[in-house]
Amino acid sequence: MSGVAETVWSAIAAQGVPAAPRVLKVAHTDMITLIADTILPRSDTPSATDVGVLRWIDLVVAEYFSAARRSSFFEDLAAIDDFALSAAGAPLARLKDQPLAKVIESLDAACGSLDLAPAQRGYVHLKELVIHGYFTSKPVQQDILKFVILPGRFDADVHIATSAT
Amino acid sequence: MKAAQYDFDAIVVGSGITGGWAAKELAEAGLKTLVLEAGGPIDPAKDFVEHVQPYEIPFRGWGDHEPLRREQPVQSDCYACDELGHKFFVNDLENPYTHPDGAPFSWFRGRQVGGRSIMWGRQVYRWSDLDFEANAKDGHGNDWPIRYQDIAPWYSHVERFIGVSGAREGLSQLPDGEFLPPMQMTGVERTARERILAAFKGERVMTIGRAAILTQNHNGRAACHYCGPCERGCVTHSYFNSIGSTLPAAHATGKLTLRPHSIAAELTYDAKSARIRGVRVIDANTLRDTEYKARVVFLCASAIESVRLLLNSKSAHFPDGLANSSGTLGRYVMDHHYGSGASGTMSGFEDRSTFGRRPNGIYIARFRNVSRQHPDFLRGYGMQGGSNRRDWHRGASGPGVGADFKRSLIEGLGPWTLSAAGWGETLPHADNRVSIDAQVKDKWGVPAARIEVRWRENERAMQSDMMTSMAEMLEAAGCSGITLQPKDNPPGHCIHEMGGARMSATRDLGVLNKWNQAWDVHNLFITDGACMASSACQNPSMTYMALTARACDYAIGQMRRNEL
Repeated sequence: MSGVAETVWSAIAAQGVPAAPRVLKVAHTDMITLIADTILPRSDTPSATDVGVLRWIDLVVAEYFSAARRSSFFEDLAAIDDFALSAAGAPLARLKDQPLAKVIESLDAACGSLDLAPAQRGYVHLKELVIHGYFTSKPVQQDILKFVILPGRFDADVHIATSAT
Repeated sequence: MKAAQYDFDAIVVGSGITGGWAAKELAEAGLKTLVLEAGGPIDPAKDFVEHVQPYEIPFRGWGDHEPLRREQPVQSDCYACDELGHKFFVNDLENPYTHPDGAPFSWFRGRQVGGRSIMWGRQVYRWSDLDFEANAKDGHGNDWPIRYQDIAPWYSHVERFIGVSGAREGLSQLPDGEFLPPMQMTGVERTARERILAAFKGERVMTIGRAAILTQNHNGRAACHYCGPCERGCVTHSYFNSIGSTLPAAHATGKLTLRPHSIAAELTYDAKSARIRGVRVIDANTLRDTEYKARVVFLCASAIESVRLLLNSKSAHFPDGLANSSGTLGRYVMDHHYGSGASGTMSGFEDRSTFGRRPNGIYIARFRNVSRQHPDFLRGYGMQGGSNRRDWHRGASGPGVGADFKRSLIEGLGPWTLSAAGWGETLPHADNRVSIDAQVKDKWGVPAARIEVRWRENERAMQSDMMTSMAEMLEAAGCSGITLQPKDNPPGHCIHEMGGARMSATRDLGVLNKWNQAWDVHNLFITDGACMASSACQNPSMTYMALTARACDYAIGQMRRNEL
């Protein structure tokens, strides 16, 4: 375990204080915040950024990614802006409402595909980070999913409402 | 030699699956027993991390790439060597090995008290005479010097102690054991089982996995609490490992000395008496050399480590490695080739889910070359898999955004999927071998192993059939969206490496006799995977444990009669 990552995350996890991004620049954080909270917006449950997804992505990009992967991640984020410019006439972070929704909808349609253009690749990787960061966060695990750490039994045949599928 | 000349009655090299069993059996017989473990001690209260949650670790279980890539580039290819479990795997820089270009071999290793029993897969199956007679029947490898009836009582002996959950099926090729109650199969699995049985007229049997995991309290250990990640340890010792079961039993006798940080570098041989004198040990911390002497030595260090130790124990009498008069030492190394299979989606169970995380899956008993010969390959394979519904994880791999999308991931589940993959028998080949690479040494100066193992035509043909046959079964089960899943894992990746010091009926054909005793050196026993003359297709640890207990019983009898 990297000592730096441990220290950084311990501080974030313990206090929930806003930590200055380590590698993400303002343009990155603006874009990631917009995309993350479009994918998982605030509703009767918290949004992606409400539970610290932005800070976690910053940590992953800074500490988990290799230098090469970090570099290609930033290139792919830039490609998202290029795509937004060509499709809606402005960088993604400056889009709102319908134009923003259309750009994200267009990028999101590529999820699950194997052959991806740079902007699509950037979006798909970012979505993976957003989903993982959100659903593994403490508030979501404990309060939303109500994850049972010690089930105490295995029941192979639990009846559930079909509407939940 | 007089007793006073010995430090111990018995030395056991290794403290894992088989080392723990040797320690227990020997110490319970009253023998003063030394267990040498290359790695450090484990404190379950501190080191077992199965209940740590993703939000408590920086990368949420993904692993810390840089240190893993730098220090564990081989080990981190194992699913269990992740952000939490990596501490149970060796540092590859300190523990190098080599292989030819173009013939990769994954050697996943654990050096700690408990060895790989800490993070093993826990699937335990008896072998049958279909396996013990295979070499003799098709001429590949040498005939086993034992048959099922020789080992059956020892399978029972082991099962009664460790606790094995499973269902009795009455299959000749997969003998039933002394089982604790089975874990439950899901509705999808039960239905698939019945439909497959009907479609293939009883030839293909899907059963619940037979696992060394307790479904009820047993021998002072608590039943499983179904938390999930057994490979990270278990504070209740609900799955079998040596540090929660066999080593405590050995310790209770007052006859056990456990010495961690002790690297067995060489077995010292006394040519005059034609016996092992003892074990030369390097202290992993001080690098000090010490020789421990004993009346009998059991090698339980894992197949390749035991072979490496013998090859590094050269003398004028054994210039090509200790106990190697047959010239077979290091040869006929095997692993299981595994991973190819198929998956599909099953409808009709949308109102069903599960509670708890079952640390087990389904097992499809071998059905190829049981009653009739397959045209494309010899031997056979079993299949392992299971059914599940994807939770929020499915959100990352498909389209969807917004509040409804989020709610569907929180409240909903994906469709039921059913999948399984094959675990196939590997034929024994003389040139699938372990030797010593004199140019490479580990951190403690011990020459490294060079491993040369390749899959051949028989394994390739079997892998292809694994996919086709699983797809057939999924179709019979009523699945849709069936996808073939080819896998090309390198040898070693299954962590069932075995052979290299095989048992044989005559001394010119192998290293060990039918009691796991070295033909050339009677106070040397090898009971880990090195002793195997064929690989069968079943997970092998149960057979290693049974052979260990059986060999101990034989050695104890010989010692009591002063024949050893």
